[in-house]
Amino acid sequence: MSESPGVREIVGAVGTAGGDPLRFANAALDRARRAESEDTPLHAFLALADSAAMGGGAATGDDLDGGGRSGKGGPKGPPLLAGVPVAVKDNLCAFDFPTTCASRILEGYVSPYEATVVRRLRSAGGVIVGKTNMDEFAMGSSTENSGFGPTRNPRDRSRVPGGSSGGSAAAVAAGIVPCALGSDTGGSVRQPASLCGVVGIKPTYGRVSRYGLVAYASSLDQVGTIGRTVEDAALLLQAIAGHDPRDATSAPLPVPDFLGARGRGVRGLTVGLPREYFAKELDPAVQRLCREALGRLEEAGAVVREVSLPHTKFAVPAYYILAPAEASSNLARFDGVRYGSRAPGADSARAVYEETRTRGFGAEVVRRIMLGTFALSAGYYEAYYGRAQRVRSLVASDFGRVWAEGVDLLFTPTSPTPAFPLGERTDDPVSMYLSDIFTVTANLAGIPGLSLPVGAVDGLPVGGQFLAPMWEEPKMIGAALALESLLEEAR
Amino acid sequence: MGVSQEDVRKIAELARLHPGELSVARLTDELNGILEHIRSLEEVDTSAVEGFEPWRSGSLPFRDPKLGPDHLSAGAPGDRAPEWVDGFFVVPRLPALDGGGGAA
Repeated sequence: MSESPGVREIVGAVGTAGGDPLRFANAALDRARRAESEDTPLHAFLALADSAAMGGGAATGDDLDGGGRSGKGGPKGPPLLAGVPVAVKDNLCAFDFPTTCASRILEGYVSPYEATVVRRLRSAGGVIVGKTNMDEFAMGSSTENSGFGPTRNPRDRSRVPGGSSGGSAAAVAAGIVPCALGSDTGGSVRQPASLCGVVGIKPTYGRVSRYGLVAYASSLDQVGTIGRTVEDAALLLQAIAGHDPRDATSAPLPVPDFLGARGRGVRGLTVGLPREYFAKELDPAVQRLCREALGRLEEAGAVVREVSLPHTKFAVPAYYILAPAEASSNLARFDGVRYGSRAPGADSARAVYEETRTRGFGAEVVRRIMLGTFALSAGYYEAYYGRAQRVRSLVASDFGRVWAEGVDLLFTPTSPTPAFPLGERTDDPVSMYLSDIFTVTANLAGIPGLSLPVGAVDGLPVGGQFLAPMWEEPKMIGAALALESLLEEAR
Repeated sequence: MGVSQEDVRKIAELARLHPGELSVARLTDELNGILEHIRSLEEVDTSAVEGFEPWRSGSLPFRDPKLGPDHLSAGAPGDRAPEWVDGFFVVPRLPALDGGGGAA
């Protein structure tokens, strides 16, 4: 099956006189339909556009421009994403498609408004080809928690694509689209990118609007981008970033040129190697490939220095108090009254709530709502939620200290293992939660992270992760471009 | 500190969920497994920390707390409601109220 060309190639072709702006989107739709109709379907999408014309068109409305944004392309050039087919995770509200969060409770629900990031990508000329599968309400690390069945990893269909943005990562890795939108609450963009062998960027908290992103854990959620290359993921980020008055946590800061550090290389950069991320329990192949990548950076002139982030081992336990606590509040709105489905036959308002939620939510969502409700309940709040918030502060302080010591970026594995077989961890929640051990710290601290492929073991991709100080995406993306190029040369 | 099946029933009530008895037993085991893992937080000395204080880093921009226009309130609610009668939203009636299932 032919693969989608990259973003620049598409924009260039569409920008030429007589170029059909929907040609690439129609080809992407054909590839998506083929992938869904194979003997072992990929199941990357929950909904596909009927035609490319349905998923395109510039956004209408007011105030798309959040100040200092550069998503419109050059002064005379075509828009940044002209004609580019994009897949969108199904927890982002978009006209013309259902928004289900892969949950039965929202089956068939169509949002009356559109997420800012969706409006911005349309306004930059992007064409939405479909909504992608995910773990229900973004709770999971394998996309097996979807209420509509799992997505498979395009590199090995007996394995998971990671999660929760597994559909978006699989759609990019299968060559259906060059880039896709996901969301990252504890690693849900970076971990599936790692397992599928593509690039995933989680920007700084506040860099991208969350308006129209169905909330899981509001203080941790951030919309992120997935691309087959660092450049494609960065160009999509360029189109969607920027202040949005509709999101009170969106930062009123100008958007830099995310590719501005291209060509600068890594000479003189100090890259920290956190010893806690390279513990002896780490899969030996992952350890080897990440250390080899660090070696390439060193050969290219970076200074690699071992550092310590002593509170790393407490990040997952803190996350699994804080995120469920916020989820238990955010998901209270799904009660059979306001959105989606309602359980029939209930004989009181309370019964409507309980029946709708019990039937509509899957096992993992119930588990996390219960955990969060417990952590916030009288008598337990301080012991669990209060303590987890203080630990979160210590995790963030670890990063602050390392940056203050002159470290520019950190480099770590993204996931402790390559893609695991479908069903391997579904009965062991804690082992599934530990899939995020290297990614949750960035969400707790609000810093940006980027995963890129650093090699493969037995045909399964392995990702390495750059972490950067808040608002330093250009430096992080510049280093990732350099490493991507160094690894390409070495092949 | 673990949870009993009775605790799980109480938590479910607070969360507006109604798991059956089999589910209560399973959830009790699962929550206790997760809480066992979370117990490691007790090892951390947090005595010098007030709470989560992202503003301490100086990296998060803060804005003045002033009210701006409410972009969601443009136009009457009825302009956006599927059904709107005499200043009220019309929603499906609960079957229990009159034995029927239709809208008012």
